[in-house]
Amino acid sequence: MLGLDERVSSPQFIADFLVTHLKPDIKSFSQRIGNVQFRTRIMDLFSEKEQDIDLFTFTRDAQLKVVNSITSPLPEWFDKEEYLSILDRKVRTYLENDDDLSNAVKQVENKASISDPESAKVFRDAIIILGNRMREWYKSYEAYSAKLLLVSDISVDYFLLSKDAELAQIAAFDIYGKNIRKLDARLGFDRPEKFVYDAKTFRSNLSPLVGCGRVLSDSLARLNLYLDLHNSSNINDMFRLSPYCEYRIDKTLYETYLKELEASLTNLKDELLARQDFIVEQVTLSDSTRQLRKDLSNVVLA
Amino acid sequence: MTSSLGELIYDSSVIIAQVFQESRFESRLRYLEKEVSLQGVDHLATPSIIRETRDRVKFLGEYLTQTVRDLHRNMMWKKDPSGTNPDATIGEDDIPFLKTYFSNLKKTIGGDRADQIKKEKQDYFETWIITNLHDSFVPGTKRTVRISDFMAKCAIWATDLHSSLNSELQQKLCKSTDLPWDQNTLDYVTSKLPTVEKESDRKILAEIVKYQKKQKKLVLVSLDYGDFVNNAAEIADAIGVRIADPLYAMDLLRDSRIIRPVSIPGPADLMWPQKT
Repeated sequence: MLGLDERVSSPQFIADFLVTHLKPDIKSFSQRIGNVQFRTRIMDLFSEKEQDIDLFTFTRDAQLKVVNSITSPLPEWFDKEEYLSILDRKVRTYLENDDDLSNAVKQVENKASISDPESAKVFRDAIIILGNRMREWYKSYEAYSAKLLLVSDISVDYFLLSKDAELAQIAAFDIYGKNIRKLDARLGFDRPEKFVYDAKTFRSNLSPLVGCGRVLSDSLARLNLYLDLHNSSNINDMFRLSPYCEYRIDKTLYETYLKELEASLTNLKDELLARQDFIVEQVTLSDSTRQLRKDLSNVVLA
Repeated sequence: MTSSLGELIYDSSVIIAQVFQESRFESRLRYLEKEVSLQGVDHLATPSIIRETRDRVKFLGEYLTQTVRDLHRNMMWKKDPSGTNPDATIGEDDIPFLKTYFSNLKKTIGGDRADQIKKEKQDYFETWIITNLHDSFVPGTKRTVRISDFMAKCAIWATDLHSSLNSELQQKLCKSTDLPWDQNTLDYVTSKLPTVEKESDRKILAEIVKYQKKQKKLVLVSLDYGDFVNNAAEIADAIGVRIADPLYAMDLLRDSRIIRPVSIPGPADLMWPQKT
């Protein structure tokens, strides 16, 4: 498997949690002191209506949905609860080893409200830290994925698509960060009525991107889980690097999951493209690969 | 906002040439882009063109990645046939093996035009691998490298190339006509153009015929001389779709003669002779 360990140490779970719950809600408060009425507005980035604000509950529920969405029979040795509790343990360990990220998550979970640029800093910092962690994680993911590609015999589309999917999710996160920074900058000098408008614009700008990002995240998780389940003999195998073999999977179902991934990736990329701050180059080609690309231009049109 | 001149439909050959910065057509494309920008003309792609262009990049990525994987297997089989030494290395002494490997691969490829292209791709891949191998040797040490490390790097570079091309392609494909072909229109195009052999080309033309009902001033820009550009007159006469290469597309668009959208007969009309 792609060291499920490798995937679990991805900050993607935390990113999904943060972004899904980012729903700006403006609240007005007023207080009378003597003859003077004081009014103020604050923005909650997390709506009060959200119940599962805890990261671990959110992650457990999200992963349970992924397990339940696998349409093929699950292997007999697979126990959902055991799997979910191993994931839970690994996510906790991951956070324990990263103080900055852990503090950022705690502050976000405490549902701090935004009334000025300083209090917006909490959310801005969380998104920036997560973005940096995703980029760091991506390098080790890339190396493991390359090794898995070499020893597997399933079609290479899986590796091409999953790489693009990870890159698209990192790009989406960069856009969240830019949006938060823009909003944060406006809070410092907005008139009250503009404050509401900016918060609503922020939310409506992010919603389609967040929606597409979640669909992509789920379809990638489903495909990865399917491959892990059917190329393992026990639950511990799922967390080690071993080949994905064609003879162990149902080709029709594999193709179906691949097509779903491709469709959700196209949708997210279309959303990214619609934003003016879409990041064009996420990969830097080596010199020899740039030359290869130039050479291939002679034959690709033929 | 659509220019009063009309719109251009870019064929997959044009989009691919842009993405790959194909040197043969660089001047023509640069001229076209300048004119399009100056005149504010919109350019789009039909659903079939979009699919075809995405597939070309996808197949290229698959070819490179699969070839890296195959080479890795062959290297490991040669250096560690028992599969017990994951640290097996490859070095200068193994260059003759690689030379023979690539030469044998080319011998399995036939002699027609499509095969010539395969051989050329194989040559480029061979150059890339051998260059990378030499670059991976650390100066002043024994000139060997772990096979798994070297091939993993090649796998990363191959997938990087695919991601990079996909990313650029995504930007070029930003506007679609959103009108896929239907069987009725496809049958009409087939009946009018029996010499257009490829069904994929007929589907593209069918989509343009449909779109032309909405936008009368339209030119298909193509670098496919064999199927489209050289047959432009015949195609325009038969189904009213105008075609030009990038150098002449804007002149054709400016041509004040409007081609009237064709009236596609229903299925019954295609089966029975027309009344005279």
